Amino acid sequence: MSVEALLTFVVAAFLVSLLFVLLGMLLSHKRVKRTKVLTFECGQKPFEWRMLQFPVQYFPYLLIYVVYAVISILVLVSLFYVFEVPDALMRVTVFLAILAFSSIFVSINLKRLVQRV
Amino acid sequence: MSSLILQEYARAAANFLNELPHPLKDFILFLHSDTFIKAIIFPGLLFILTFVMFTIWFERKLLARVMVRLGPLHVGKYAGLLQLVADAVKLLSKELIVPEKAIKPLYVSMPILCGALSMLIFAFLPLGPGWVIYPSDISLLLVFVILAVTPITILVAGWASRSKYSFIGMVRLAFQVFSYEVPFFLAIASITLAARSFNLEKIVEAQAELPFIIPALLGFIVFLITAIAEVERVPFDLPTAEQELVSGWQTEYTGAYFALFYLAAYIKLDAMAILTALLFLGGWHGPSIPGIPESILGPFWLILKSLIVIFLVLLLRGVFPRITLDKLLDIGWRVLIPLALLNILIVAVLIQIGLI
Repeated sequence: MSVEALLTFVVAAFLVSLLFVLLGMLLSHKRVKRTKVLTFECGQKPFEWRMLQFPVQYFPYLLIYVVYAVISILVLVSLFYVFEVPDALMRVTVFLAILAFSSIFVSINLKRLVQRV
Repeated sequence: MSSLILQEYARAAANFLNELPHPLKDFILFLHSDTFIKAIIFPGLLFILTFVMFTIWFERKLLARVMVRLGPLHVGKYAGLLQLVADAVKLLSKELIVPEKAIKPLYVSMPILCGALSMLIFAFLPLGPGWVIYPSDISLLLVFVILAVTPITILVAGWASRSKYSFIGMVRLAFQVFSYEVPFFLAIASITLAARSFNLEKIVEAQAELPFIIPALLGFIVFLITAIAEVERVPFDLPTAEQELVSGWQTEYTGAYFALFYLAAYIKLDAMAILTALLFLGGWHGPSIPGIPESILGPFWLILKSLIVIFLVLLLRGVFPRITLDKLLDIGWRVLIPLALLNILIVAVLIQIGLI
């Protein structure tokens, strides 16, 4: 029953999105000038597109993200453990306390992360 | 007397239905089945589109009032309510331009995918007791999964446009995802600990006496900030910064494609507001009004609460300037993640004491 509703909704969502594009194709006028097909460049002629530089100065933040992503999964797994075994809440609380205070300590002490290139 | 007439009408309608050919009869039966009503009318499609239209109108009117303007006024009977329809027709009649350097299949398919995926969030959000398209035991995780997937469509769209502005906007969006994803997840985790469930309906039922905003106030603050970053609203609208990057990752998109991205952004905003109301503000619990049945009162309170959240988020656009990328990244791990972890700790201690 509910699966039917979900499937109907998914199909309807995709159909509405497609309908937008189809209506756009029907209603819009077709003659597109050459200058409109060019890449946007603030009124200039577009000049060479090369691979733009990746902002390397923010690389430390990516490392922090990776570390914290793993930690957040650990937190989630420990919460599952609490759902299954309610007596384990004490141990999980100690784990969370260590995590919270160490993250506060690190964030206060680690300064100037943006690298000057 | 009137009941007799009604019975007569019902019999006539049943006779009429029985005389119809088979596929037509099935179709009419489907139209008033639970499946159709849930998927298309109330928690489904029509409700989403109406809510989004109202949100956009409300934003324009509110921002106009903040800047002492009048806002949309002329289209529609009252205060430019139909301005959005006029805008949609205008957008649809613009030519669909695919830039010659763009990667065409990705460029064309991503707006459709983004619009459809952001609508899918509503499939798992209950708007009242029983008012949900797909009840699931892990509905909160499903919502999180879809919210985590939608930025990828935007990243691919920015990549496929092959324009400098799109590329810069896309990279900014990627960094923004790095900064808000983990605190958002941790703020949700504290609520699951307080309610001991991933089912959104059970989470709301656990808030019958006390909404979770009181024990998890820090989590509410973290959640609201990260939710605003998730929907790219103003203090965090770096990827589509109009004054710096033309229009960020959607620079090259025109007409119907742009309309789809615009729609998707507001659908995500509404979904976020409803999620905030469900997780922290007590969902559909509220004082009962005599004469109104429970099944209508629940959605009424929920939508009222989510409108308050939407009001708050929209007001930020009129008040705050945009912050820079390094500040956003710094806030992400220096402030939000420790606060979110501290919030989970507070919730765990409160459960230990026995207050929740």
